[in-house]
Amino acid sequence: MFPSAPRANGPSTGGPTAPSCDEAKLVQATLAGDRQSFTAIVQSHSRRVYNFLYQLTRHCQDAEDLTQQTFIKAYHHLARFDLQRPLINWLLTIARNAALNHFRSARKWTEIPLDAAGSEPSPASTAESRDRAANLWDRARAVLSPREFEVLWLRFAEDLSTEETAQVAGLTQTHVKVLVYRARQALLKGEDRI
Amino acid sequence: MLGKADENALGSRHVASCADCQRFFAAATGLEAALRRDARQNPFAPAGLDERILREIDRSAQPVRPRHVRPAMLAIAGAAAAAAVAFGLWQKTNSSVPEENGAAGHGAVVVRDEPTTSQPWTALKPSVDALMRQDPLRTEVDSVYADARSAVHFLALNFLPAPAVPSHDGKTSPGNPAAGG
Repeated sequence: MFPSAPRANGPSTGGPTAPSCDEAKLVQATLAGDRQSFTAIVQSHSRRVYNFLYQLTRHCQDAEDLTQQTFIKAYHHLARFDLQRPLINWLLTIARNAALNHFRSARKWTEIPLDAAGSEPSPASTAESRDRAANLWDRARAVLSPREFEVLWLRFAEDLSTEETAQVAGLTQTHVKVLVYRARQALLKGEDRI
Repeated sequence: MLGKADENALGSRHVASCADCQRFFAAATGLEAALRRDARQNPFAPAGLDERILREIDRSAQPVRPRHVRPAMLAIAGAAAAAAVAFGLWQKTNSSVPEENGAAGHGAVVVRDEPTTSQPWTALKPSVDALMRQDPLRTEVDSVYADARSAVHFLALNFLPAPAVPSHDGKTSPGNPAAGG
């Protein structure tokens, strides 16, 4: 099940979400040297960061490596974190930049299926594959451009607001709205642009 | 001209009466709900990911705290800025800097005869004198004035060309800045 940390405002529609007070305390405690506070941060957000990176890379090991990089960078630059913003937005921004650097350094990468280790697909993996084929995100990946997919993921899977999506993706809010509109239209029409 | 509230009201009235728009918004809403639902079907993070992340962090150093500028660095930067300002003031007002003179021809350098340091400070002197008459500030102004003069002397000594040395053919040429006195 996709993890989702409790959001202050629930599913967002427009404005940014309010930062969690507990998060700010955890960050401040980490900066003061409390190791357990950062452990709590990792435990709260690692799955969301991993899932986002997995959607970008479609590669389990790369997603895990990049998740590690993301949290290590976050740990070393925690003093730069703006306590007025939700921590997950900052982590996703770091993760996105790490993924972009990864793509630049590795010109070509191959997708490793999740069940690549086994020769015979298990009933569970067969059922999972069937579910995945029916998953709207798999169709979105086939139909949309990478940027449209990324924005759609941030907007609806991560439940970020338009403003937050723009911040993480490094785009303007208008650009995000246009990309979401195009992506929605493409999915509704079932266009295949590959 | 319609305000935003008026536009919204107008749009809502239109949607309420337009079947096409209702279909579009129903489809869009359904799609967004399906996207949110299907996002929850994505794979778990691998087992032990948190532990591996924390182990990697343990290998690295402590989080970087905000940098504090050392007082010594501030003092050096202030001194450099003061020297730069003094030099700029001197360069702007002093007319003894060698300059290319087209009339002299062949790139000959002409040096004016005015003394190196007198002009800018004679211009400033009346105000300095006036300040020095005020007894509480006398010592302070005196020291600042002395510091500025010594700074200008130092800069002129080290960074300006020496007085021109006449060559055998009667032309003048700039002296060696490093040997200037």
